[in-house]
Amino acid sequence: MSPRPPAPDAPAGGPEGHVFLEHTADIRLLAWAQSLPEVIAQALLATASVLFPAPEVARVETRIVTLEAPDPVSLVVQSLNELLFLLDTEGFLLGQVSVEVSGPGLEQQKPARSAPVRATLRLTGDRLGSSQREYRVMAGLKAATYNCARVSYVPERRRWEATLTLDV
Amino acid sequence: MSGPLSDLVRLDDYRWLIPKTRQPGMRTEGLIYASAAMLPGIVQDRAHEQVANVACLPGIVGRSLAMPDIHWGYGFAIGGVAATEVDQGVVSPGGVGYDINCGVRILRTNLSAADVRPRLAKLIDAIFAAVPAGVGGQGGLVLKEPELQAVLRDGAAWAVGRGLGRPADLVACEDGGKIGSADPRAVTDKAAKRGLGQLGTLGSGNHFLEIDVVDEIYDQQAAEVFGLRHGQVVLGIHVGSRGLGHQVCADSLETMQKAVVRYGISLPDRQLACAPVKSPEGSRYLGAMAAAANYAWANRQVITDSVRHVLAEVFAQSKDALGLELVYDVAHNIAKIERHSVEGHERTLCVHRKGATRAFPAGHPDVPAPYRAVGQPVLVPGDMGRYSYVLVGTAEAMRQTFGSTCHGAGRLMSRTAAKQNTRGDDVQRDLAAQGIIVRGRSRSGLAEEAPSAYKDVQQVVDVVHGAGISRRVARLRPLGVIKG
Repeated sequence: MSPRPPAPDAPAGGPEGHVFLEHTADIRLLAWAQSLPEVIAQALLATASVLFPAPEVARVETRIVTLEAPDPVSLVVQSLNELLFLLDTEGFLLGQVSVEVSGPGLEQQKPARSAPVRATLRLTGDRLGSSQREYRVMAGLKAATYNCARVSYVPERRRWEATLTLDV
Repeated sequence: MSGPLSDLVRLDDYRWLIPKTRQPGMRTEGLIYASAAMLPGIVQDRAHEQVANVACLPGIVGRSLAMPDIHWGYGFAIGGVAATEVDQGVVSPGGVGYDINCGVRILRTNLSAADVRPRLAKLIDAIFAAVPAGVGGQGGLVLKEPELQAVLRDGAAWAVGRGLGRPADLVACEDGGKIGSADPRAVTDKAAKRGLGQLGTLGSGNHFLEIDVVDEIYDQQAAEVFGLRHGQVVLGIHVGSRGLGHQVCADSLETMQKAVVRYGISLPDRQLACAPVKSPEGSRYLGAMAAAANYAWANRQVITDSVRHVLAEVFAQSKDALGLELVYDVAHNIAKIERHSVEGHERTLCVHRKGATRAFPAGHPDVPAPYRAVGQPVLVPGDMGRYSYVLVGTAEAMRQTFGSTCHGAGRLMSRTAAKQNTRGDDVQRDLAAQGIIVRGRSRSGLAEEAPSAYKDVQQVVDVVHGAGISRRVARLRPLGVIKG
């Protein structure tokens, strides 16, 4: 089956960003950027924004997460699930993120299929109840799923895109 | 028939076949239970494509099934049922979902609506204060690691053993409130960490606590056996295994991504990733899933105890005087190893129910003894403005659906559309005008859960009743609702 197409009115311009697409029960997101690390960062910010607006989160604590995955789709799914794990176990909310990725073929926008890709996520934000700020988390997310997940360089738009479904 | 509906072949008023030729890789046909009126919505939602995808699972037995509350999910459609051969088939964590053993229980009381109405607001506020809800959802019992292991092993019995319930509660739970084959060692440290502080919490999304009144009895004999009568107040609890279950599924899916390569399995959607039931990966998943299912039963049991305490306090009566007996507790996201008759042969199958409820008939040994004469109670919540149903399992369900039926109303509208359509404050006010008191942790959450966002559960129940895969017993109307 081909993945569901983006909603036709999805505003998907600019060098990087994200939008949410229609989904009956859950949340489907499209993130885009100029590189794989940046598109992972955009997907993380999109997911974080479902919980609480990232720009409004104080940047007082940092978590470093290292991941290894067989392909970019797994890397993005795992990255988003790490964020949800940190929220559940530490009340951690994301304000800012930077991502480093390594793996063969990435410079040519074509990750090798036979070799793993590795990422280091530098997540900066705040914890619920830890500072003077009062955060009211807007929605709960169970997980990032593999359902019709795509993470790839799209030559015609000259950018990386990640399309994923979040289970609510 | 032309257009997209031409993919489907009408068998009768309630059943629509997806031919095996619809897409490459289908090993069997798909079958959707729906009325003609429901079908365009299902096709527009493209949920039938997910039913066809599930038909590609190795070792699938019979058809890939979908109940009438079907809607687009991830991997499996919500409302999906698939049985696989234990010896040669696969188990797929996507066929259970992240909220392992999400389920429903109802408690009957000795109270009438007239008894409850004057104290309804106080009661709802007291329950809202007593049961932690919302995102993150810490605030539950704080467990030490050995206690968590016991919860994962013993399920609801762990809670009852600590005085958080009655021995009779266990009799009224599917599987007695625990799957004996649970393997706590298969639960990762990350999943365990998420479970340490969340037992007894409601979480968020569509989970709820509800006070209902029985407003219609359809099957007097079954209702009497279930202890239900017209005008009686009952309490509903809908929640699952919280972050622990979510992490078990996420971790297992990572394992299964590798397993599909190892076992040479080709699938149309990576969320369907799976492994042979008897492989190390399959066994490990089933052990961890069962442990998470046990956590969910313990969770509903701890919440039950909190709710009983609140009622005793608000009504200044003992819990026993109020009744508060558990009618039944069903799992609607689960995979079970069950015996079924297929084309005249008894077979051991792995039955995945993703948003579907077991519906075993009268006489089945897995139906608790007090209910065995009529069949297993099936609990089908609707939306918070209309009604919910109690059904009973049937022999026809064993013949058609591996003993399965619907689990709820099913979403009609996306969460985004629901929030564009209405505001949480408006939902609360409109329901108050109907005499239904609603509390929620988040206004946007209330908007997402607005009655208009759901199918009319009556239409869903009409289909399963009409098709014979379960039978109406009673209808419940909400008086008060707490949303996570």
